[in-house]
Amino acid sequence: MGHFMSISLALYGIEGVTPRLALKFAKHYFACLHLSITGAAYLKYLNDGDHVGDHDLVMVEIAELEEKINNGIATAFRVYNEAAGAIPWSVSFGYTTNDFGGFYHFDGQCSGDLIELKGMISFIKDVCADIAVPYGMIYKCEKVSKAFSYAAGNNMVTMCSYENSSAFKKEVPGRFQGRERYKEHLLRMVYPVNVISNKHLEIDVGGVVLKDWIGESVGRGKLEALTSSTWLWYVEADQLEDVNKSLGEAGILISWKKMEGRKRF
Amino acid sequence: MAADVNGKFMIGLVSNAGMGKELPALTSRNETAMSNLPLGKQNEILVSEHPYSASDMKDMFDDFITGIWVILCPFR
Repeated sequence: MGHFMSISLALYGIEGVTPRLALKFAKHYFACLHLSITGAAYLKYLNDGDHVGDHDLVMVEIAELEEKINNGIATAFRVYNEAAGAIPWSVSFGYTTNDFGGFYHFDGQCSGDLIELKGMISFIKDVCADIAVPYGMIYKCEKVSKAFSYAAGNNMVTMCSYENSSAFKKEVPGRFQGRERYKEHLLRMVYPVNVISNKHLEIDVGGVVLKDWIGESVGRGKLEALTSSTWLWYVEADQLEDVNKSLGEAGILISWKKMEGRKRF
Repeated sequence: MAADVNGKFMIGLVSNAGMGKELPALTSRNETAMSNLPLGKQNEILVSEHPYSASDMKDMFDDFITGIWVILCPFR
């Protein structure tokens, strides 16, 4: 297990979140991490772009972003904290909608480790107290940019060697019009912290529902109820490989990839 | 931005200084460009941050080639 430099989150199925509420969450994200917002940007379609749907980022101050959101001019946005030498940022929070080649989700990245992990867990708990989040996770990654791509399933980024790098991209809305089975019936993979619902806990794992499977043996993490329908499932770093292997072989992980017999070029 | 004669591959370059502005829109702009193609002609968009790291490039293309292999041989 390498030394991780960034903690990141992704929350899916947030179709009911308005840009205004998303900005409130964005500000709260930075408050949970005890950091300030130093920059913001929103996506805007170009009239004279290269192709249909072409767009660009418009960089603004946070106050201007808030004004543009309140006026209905801005929807999808990103706010960030730029530390010297951090590429592309040291901390970022993005709200993506089904426009601009994306699909509804939140993504957040932060350079750091344990303290930041606690901040992100605290943020997710507060979000889940406000809205129903059907699926999400916190994951650790060596680079903020890699973590950013991973949230949307882009750039064939993987968190582990037994992960199919393009499977999740085929499951989300957008270009491939995926079935979004991670919202109820499958998991993308298993991560240090997983945001799951009662429906996920009813998934069949070899004749046992996931909730019982987690509880019936040590080394399968622990569950914490957030609301009547939403749970956090914590899995220790040294348990992740075994848990992923078991659930991957049981057929409930979207991105699971068998390693046996797979030729590396 | 460079493209081959068949439009199968395109390469865009971004400097480190422009990453904060370019990275979020880099993939999404290519997503919208590719979504104008028929679904069967669409493929992956890759961003490499290490053009001079042979091992990182190899890992990325290994994943890419493995992806093609799965697409070509869905029943193996």
